[in-house]
Amino acid sequence: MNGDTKTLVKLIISIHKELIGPYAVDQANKVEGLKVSSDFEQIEIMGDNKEVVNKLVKQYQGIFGNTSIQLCKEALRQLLPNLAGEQLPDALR
Amino acid sequence: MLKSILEKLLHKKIALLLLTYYFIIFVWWIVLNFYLHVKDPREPANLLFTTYGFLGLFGVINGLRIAKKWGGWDSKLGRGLIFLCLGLLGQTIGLSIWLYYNLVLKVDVPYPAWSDAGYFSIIPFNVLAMISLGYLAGVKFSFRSAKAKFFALFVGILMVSVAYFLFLKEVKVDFSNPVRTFLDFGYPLGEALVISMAITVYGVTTKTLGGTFKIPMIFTIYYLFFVFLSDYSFLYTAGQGTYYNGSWVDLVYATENLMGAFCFILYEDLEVKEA
Repeated sequence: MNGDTKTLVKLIISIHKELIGPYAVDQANKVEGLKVSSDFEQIEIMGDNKEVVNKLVKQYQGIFGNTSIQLCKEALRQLLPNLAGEQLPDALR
Repeated sequence: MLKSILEKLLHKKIALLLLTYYFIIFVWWIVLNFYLHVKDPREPANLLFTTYGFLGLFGVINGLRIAKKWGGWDSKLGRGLIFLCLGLLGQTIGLSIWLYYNLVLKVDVPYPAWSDAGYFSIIPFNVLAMISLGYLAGVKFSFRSAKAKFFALFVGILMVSVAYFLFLKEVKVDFSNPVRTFLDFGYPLGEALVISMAITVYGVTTKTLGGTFKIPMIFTIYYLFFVFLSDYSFLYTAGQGTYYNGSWVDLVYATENLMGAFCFILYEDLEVKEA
């Protein structure tokens, strides 16, 4: 798993931690193939990186709908503008 | 949407319990108005009806518990729920002071009184709640369009016009009684502001509001509409001299308290099992 994916996962969870507090990590841990410690220091992805990140985005989209997608896109533009398009999950393109 | 809301609520035992309590209060309201014809606020018969305040109090306690679940003060959802709780608590305190005047001191409630501190507090707290919850509904993104801005302006002007024609055109500024003057303007304008925000959120977030958050957010807007309806009904009937304790206006307040309690129950289960 490369550093960009880890950074992306941390960013997406952080955005939602501002919205729903520590439950954001609980929701992340419900994503198949993703394990996150409560302090974000340990992030494990098992399987295809892009697919797992896509599932993570959809997990939060299940709670906040399109707002979640828009918040992630906005944060990506500001904080990870150099992230290559092919690294982005389909939901955030 | 209403069917979805009812399905979510009626699966919860606590919601059924609150509904049963409300039904008892409703039946007693019918007895008070159509059989006993009680209009004196000092009558103890009014006491059972005014225990609708317990619906609101339960809502506050449960709401704070649910706010804590979602991160409390450290999260936008937690903060939004805390503000809704504080507004409902303010109203419950206002009701308690009102009852103290009527049932203990056995006098009419003066205006302004300390009960107004409680009743008025619902306005700023609901404004703050709408700011937090509106963010979660996606207002920030919806407001990028000129159409959304125009909609908000139109709704705001409409509600201020309603406030003016119903109340403000009769209000005179009295510098010798600044608190009363503040409340005379503050109640109708404050409620107009809250309902404008609620209608705007409802109207502009159709493309962003979604997920499990959608149902509780829509219900919050219904609840805020009932807050507006109850306060405007009271202001109007009090101004006309037709308000009395236990009137239809208090039934609207009781319904509002029930909806406040239901609101927090709907926010409890937002989790998604697995996308």
